[in-house]
Amino acid sequence: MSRPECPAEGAQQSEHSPGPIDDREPIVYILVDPLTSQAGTVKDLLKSKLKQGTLSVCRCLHCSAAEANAAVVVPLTAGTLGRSFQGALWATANRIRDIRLGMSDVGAFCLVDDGKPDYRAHAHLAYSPADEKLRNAREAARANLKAAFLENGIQPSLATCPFFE
Amino acid sequence: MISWNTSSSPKLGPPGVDLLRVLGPIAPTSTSVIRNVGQHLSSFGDLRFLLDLVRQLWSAHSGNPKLAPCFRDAFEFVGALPLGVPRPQVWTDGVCEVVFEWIGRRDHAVVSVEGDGVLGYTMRSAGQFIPGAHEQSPPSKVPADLREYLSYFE
Repeated sequence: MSRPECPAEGAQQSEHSPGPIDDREPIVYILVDPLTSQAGTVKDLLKSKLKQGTLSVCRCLHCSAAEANAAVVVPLTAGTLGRSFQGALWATANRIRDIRLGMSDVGAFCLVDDGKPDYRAHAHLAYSPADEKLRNAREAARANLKAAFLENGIQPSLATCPFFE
Repeated sequence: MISWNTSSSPKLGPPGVDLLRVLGPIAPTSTSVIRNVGQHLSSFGDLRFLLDLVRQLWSAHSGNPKLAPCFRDAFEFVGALPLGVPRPQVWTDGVCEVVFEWIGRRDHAVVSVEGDGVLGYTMRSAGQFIPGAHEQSPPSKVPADLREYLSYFE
């Protein structure tokens, strides 16, 4: 499963994780206005987070909708005026990993486990460490990533995402 | 189909933060997305309107000095847009990026500026986003492939 551009995918990264992310796993991206969506529009995935390798996603085979709500939605929306849950997107890990950097055979994104003590399904999505000067290739990959997430439609609630429970 | 005059790309004076002075103060706004799908920049007034929208975004995030170069690039890019192109949505992540996005029935284009004087851009073709042909393109110029794409935008 490990790819040369993403060696961290091949081994468990966090002791709190259930293991490396399998290609068949559904990955959920939660929409909170105005952080990741605005006025019903899904924003492009945050470039700064993709560069840092810290864009948070959820491995929904390893948690329930209620756990994801408690771990993600509540902290992001509670106590902050103007923020609201707007639904969620999901795509399988292999769909994300299949996105290429331009016309190359290099994967544009790495998807690695980053389980937390109280949220073992947490994972990180990142640009692969390919040539950063290929700015337009990365722009295309990011747009294709959003399109991949949108293929299953915007889920109005976490309950309609393929969570384990 | 959009009619183009490629021989003279309209400009709105010097690009960059000088435009802020030209436009004058605009009240801050909390929004970071402005939706204008389906309309076109058909006059200098429309371009000024787009500049006003970018100016509003900048006002809303002016407390973040890291964004200043991003908005400098964004203003330059607006100043380079020719008349006749569709009006884009504009948003910022509030951290390091300003994005112009055209979403049509068939077509979709994204331009991103990060404050380093280089455009990143992509266009959808045959169901996939493809990289823009011109790497290291400055924000003061609309790359030829993007210009052509926007001219036939649906």
